Amino acid sequence: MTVTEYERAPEIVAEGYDSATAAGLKALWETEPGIKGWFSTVDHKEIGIRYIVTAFAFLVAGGIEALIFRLQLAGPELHLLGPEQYNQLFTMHGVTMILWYAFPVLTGFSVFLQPLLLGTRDMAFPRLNAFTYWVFLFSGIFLYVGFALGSVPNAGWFNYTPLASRPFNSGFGIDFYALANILLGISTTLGSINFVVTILRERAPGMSINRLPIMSWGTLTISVGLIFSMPSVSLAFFFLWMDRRIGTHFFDGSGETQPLLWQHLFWIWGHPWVYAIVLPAISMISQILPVSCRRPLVGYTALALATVMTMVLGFGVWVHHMFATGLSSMALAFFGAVSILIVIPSAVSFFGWIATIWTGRPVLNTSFLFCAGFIIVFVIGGVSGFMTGSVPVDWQLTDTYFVVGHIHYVLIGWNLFAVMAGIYHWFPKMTGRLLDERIGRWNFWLMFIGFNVGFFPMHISGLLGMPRRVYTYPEGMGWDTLNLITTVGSYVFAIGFLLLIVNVVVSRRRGAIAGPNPWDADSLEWSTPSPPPPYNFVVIPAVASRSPLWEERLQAPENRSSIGEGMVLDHGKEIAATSAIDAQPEVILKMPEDSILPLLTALALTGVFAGGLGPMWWLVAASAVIALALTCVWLWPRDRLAQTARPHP
Amino acid sequence: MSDHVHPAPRRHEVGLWILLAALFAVPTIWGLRLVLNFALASYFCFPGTVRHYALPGWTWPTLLGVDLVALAVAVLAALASWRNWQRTRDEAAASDAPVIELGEGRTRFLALWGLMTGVGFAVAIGFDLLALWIVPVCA
Repeated sequence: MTVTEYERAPEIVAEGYDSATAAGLKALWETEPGIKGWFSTVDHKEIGIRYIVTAFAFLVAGGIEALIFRLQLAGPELHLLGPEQYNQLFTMHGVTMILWYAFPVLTGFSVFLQPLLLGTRDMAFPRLNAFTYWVFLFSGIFLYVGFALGSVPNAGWFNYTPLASRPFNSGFGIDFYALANILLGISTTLGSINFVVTILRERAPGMSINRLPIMSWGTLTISVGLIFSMPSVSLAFFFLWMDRRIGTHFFDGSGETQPLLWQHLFWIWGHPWVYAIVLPAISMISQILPVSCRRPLVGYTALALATVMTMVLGFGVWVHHMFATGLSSMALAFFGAVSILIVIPSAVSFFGWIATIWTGRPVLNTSFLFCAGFIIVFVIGGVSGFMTGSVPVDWQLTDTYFVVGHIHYVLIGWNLFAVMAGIYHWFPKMTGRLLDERIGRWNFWLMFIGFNVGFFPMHISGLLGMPRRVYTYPEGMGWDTLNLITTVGSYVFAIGFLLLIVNVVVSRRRGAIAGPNPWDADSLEWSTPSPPPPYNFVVIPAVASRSPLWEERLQAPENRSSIGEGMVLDHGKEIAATSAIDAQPEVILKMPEDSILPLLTALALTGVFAGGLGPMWWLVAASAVIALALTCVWLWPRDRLAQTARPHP
Repeated sequence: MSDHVHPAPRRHEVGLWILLAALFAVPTIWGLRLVLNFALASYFCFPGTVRHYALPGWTWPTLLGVDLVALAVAVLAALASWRNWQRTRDEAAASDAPVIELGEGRTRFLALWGLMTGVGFAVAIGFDLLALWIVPVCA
């Protein structure tokens, strides 16, 4: 490779997707067909869709678990499940939904969309991207292998010690959860690093920090947050595993151990995690709503800052999960104050959306309906969160069904409704076909009605004193009808969700052809064909506003974005790296080709954690050696990627 | 492409370091203040296995001092950001269209963020200051 090759000035050309340049780029970036290609692809679009499909598979599993125990709770004194089976099912439901559905599905959207939103051709580390997907998949399979073998965690998703410690919880269920959680944490942390580098260094020229797509703010914010918070929970689960399998005494309640330390370590991660599974969803709504309302987002600057500040404040509220543990009142006051103040950035987002709808011309399609439904449940979930942020109110409500109602408004309302809006909005970009709008409306109304019928009564059950996590309840407590309504609502909600699957299956084959920009949207992904080609953009666009595809109609000044003319970058798999703040072009990066190494390394890493079950030290050692060897091969510097010393002229 | 206007036309008037320092100083000091005051207010109520109902005499003034320092940093950062914002006010003129949100220039954007962050966290710290008078420490 010559010096010219490294330091050449990129050629600026105007090219279309039917040009010879496009054909050449396709040959460079396309994944090899067949099984080998399927296992070795590093294409972010393929990996993003896999994330979404896998997360939905976990959603279905967690949903079925819930539907089973809702039958148990439909009336008093029912015995469909025994207490232990109930404990296992609600634990698996919570763990699956919160850890293996809610965050990974948003990761899937981000993996698919971020390079397209930013005007680049792939994630910063494509092989790492594939690796994080495989590790996520194997961690979930690992958890469910335990389920299939009868080793099921049963101490709730937050797994409090000493209940989860070995003296009080024998068997391997907790160990499966602990090891799967650490494995998932590795995937999440590495994925977060990949997002941070991608968003800060791969934006299209001109996309300065103040022109970043609002959805990218959500992904960037939670990625930084997770880099700081994930070590806490990984360490907690590692300590717990050591308590259970090696004989240490961090949490088990014996002698000088500290069971309450578990709660601190868990919630220092746990509350930022709640924001990690809602902030990208909130940003998706902020990205979609202006398209549906035919105008730019009102208050971009404030909404983007609100996203960041929610995560910052989110690091200062963890003790509100521990208000009833007997900490000093002054300490509770500090965290109660932050828990209430965090409403302010949420309110900023809310008023921004309302103003966007009010001053726009909303198109009432399914995507907009889910956005509107999201805003309604956002308010209800926010208000109930505000209530539990108050220390004296929380003392009355803690461990009641009120909290269960609140968490479902937050996790389903703030996550799934936004995801549904996202699917209806971006399905055409992913597949090239539109989802059916008639099924979509049934889909929305059944889910919206079922959700509110199912989950709002939980608040009332809680106010009437029904504790959470009881496998049944006696007659005559005033909870019978409310629980029956909750069960009926949850089944209506499930039927509504089933319609999405029907719609996807039908529309994937027979849906109307979408074209590049079926919604007449404003961001860069809609300037590519649907689905986008393997290289995303023939030329790297240059951006001059927040709405590059709407500049003409919005009467932007003469200095406009350049979509069809830009750097061609076709000397191999190449992308442009730009500066972090102003997105000025700095260097041409060489990107790696497809590889089976991410899959093999993820398998070896999973072997390490599987060995931790016994522990089977031979399996741990063998898998670790293999993983290390594969990593060396993977990271060995290569000329082709410009990773070796530059030759002198 | 080469004739595109730089996204921060007034970048030479306000250094990036002062923009970022004003922006990041306040969340940083707020986080440190929370952790320090939480530790002080918790530990001395439960120094061992027995609950105490009175703090050492220096604790309350220390809590107050930490809050006041944090408040001062927040106010200073907000003032610095206000100054940055004023100095780059004509960066908005780069966008002469009335409807489209081009982004008011990167410099002005970061200055406005710093201003909102400083004011917002000053309010948050003020909330906690009130607690020092209305909440008994080890109740």
